[in-house]
Amino acid sequence: MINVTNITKTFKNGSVETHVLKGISLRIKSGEFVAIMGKSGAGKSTLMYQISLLDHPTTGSIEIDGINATDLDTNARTEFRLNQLGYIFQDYALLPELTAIENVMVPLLMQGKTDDEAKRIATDSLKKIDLLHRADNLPSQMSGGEQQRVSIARAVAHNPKILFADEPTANLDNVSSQAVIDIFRSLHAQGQTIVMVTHEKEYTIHCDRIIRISDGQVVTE
Amino acid sequence: MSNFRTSFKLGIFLGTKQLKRANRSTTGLIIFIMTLTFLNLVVVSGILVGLIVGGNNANRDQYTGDVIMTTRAGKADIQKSQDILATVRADKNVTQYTYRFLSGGTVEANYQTRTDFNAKADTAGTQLTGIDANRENDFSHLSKQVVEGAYLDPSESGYVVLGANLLQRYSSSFGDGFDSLGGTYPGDRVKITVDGKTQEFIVKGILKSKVGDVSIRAFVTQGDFLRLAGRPSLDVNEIALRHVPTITDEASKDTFVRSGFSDYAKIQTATEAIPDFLNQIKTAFGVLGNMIGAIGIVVASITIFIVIFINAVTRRKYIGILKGIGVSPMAIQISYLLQSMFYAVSGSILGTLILYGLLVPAFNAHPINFPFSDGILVAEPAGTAVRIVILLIVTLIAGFIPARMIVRKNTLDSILGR
Ligand SMILES: Nc1ncnc2c1ncn2[C@@H]1O[C@H](COP(=O)(O)OP(=O)(O)O)[C@@H](O)[C@H]1O
Ligand SMILES: [Mg+2]
Repeated sequence: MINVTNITKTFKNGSVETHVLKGISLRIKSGEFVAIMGKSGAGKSTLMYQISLLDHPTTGSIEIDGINATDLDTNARTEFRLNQLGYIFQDYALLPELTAIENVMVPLLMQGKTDDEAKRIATDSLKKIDLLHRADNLPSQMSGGEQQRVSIARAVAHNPKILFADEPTANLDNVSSQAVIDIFRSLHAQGQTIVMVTHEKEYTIHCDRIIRISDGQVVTE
Repeated sequence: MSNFRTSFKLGIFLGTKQLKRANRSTTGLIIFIMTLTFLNLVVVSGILVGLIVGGNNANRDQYTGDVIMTTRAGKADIQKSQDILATVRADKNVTQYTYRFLSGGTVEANYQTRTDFNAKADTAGTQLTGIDANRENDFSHLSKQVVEGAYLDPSESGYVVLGANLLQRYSSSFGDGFDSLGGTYPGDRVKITVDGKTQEFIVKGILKSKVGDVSIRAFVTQGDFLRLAGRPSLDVNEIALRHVPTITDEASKDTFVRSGFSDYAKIQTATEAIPDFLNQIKTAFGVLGNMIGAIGIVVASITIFIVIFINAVTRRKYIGILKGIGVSPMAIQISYLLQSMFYAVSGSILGTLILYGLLVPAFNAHPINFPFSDGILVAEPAGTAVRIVILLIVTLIAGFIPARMIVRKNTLDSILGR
């Protein structure tokens, strides 16, 4: 499903060059739940941005579902992200002026679904994570755990091929974190491919595989 | 194209939610600024134009009528006046007319109380004007301009109504170039001299007109005028007329030009007879109005630019997230266009209501008192509509540029705030 071949990422800041990713190759199969672990500053997020098409690697290639993502232009990448990928950010990243259900509707509307259709799917999606009673709440009227669950609903409502989550539990208490991990587990059980960055070992027990990153390189798989 | 429709729909969705959940007082303030901008655009130039229109109206109502015939340069009067008047009377298109006898002369006041005969006499130059008092009043409503005393009574003789600009107390502010009379109230006696002949008149009243040419005149009955001036004929100096509304001033003027009367009189439409100074002010005010309007437009566009820019900058992270999850830049830009349109349209609607509901009626009821004009607020619906369209277009551009600037920024950089 994901085929990463020898990617590097170098940031240039004036004359200073920071080599963050130093030649990473990995494969993730369809339906896999993969955890990326490593110390802070190891390059986990940077790697995630490359494989989730939010950024371009300096060298190397990324192939997703048979498509060479490094060849796509900006518009095609945006469309690809919309239709094939789902994102969960550490800080939930809900739009503050949209209610829970409206946040979930955004990608669906962008896909050209009608208001009614989008609303129906978003409602289903919220129901699955047990947050239908919060549908009309603004993010500011919800707890962090609730917000993160809404952001999961938004990320999966359109059935993406791959779900990316960068430290989704970092800002949450234990109970909320466990709830998020439980949702991942059930999504995984339904065959969802998930790539999750975390540095908490306890949340990786349901993962099929752990990829360890250190200093911009894969140490063990 | 379906892509555009989708983006458009989502843009409207995002824009409406943002507006709906924006801070009420901030939204109110922005709309208030847009309202002021709109009014600035319409009212300032409307008042400037209104001053001129008021001046022109005063000229037409109190002096020239729709068409005026005056004495040709170098002539003492309009020859064949009675033939012309007969034609005017017979013209079915003419609804009203008047005629005036004019002669340059002087008025002297305060001669009875003068003690030092070496000092300059208290005199002022004037146009002695002989009128058919009732006919003239029907035509130019002179009696309404009387500010002290009374208007001429055609059955009386020996009375004069003085234009206010002949008097120091009315003209001191801008009449420095002219001699003017001190004191002099209704009931006082003045000496009027024309062509070396002098006669004493009793001041019947003082009249103050917005038309400078009227306020500098001294009005007596035509009988008194003819007696004093000793004219050999009944030829007059001015004929002013009004026509039916179905023809233009030009058409009415043409009738008399075609009759060959321009050999005897200078025939002008009201517009042609507008004093030069008014036309010069009009040009100057036009330029001024456009300049102020242009500044207003610039201020409006900067306001919208800043509002949208700040909004987009503070929401840069969310714009990044939207793009990150696959929302097209077009949809995001449209959400901002919708917001700027909302501000401009609300401002224009509010401004239009204030303009036609409040300001125009207020100015009509209480015109600005200018020396040469009762200044009203002229806001033609067509002109207002054009200004609204300009404001909307400018706002659209001013909102689009900052939105585009922020939307074009790198998606990941926006999300991470770097
Ligand atoms: N835009 C950038 N410019 C320079 N250095 C960067 C940039 N982004 C990340 N880095 C550096 O790359 C390293 C890895 O960052 P990151 O991928 O965020 O680590 P992790 O997510 O594993 O904590 C860090 O040392 C960080 O300072
Ligand atoms: Mg990180």
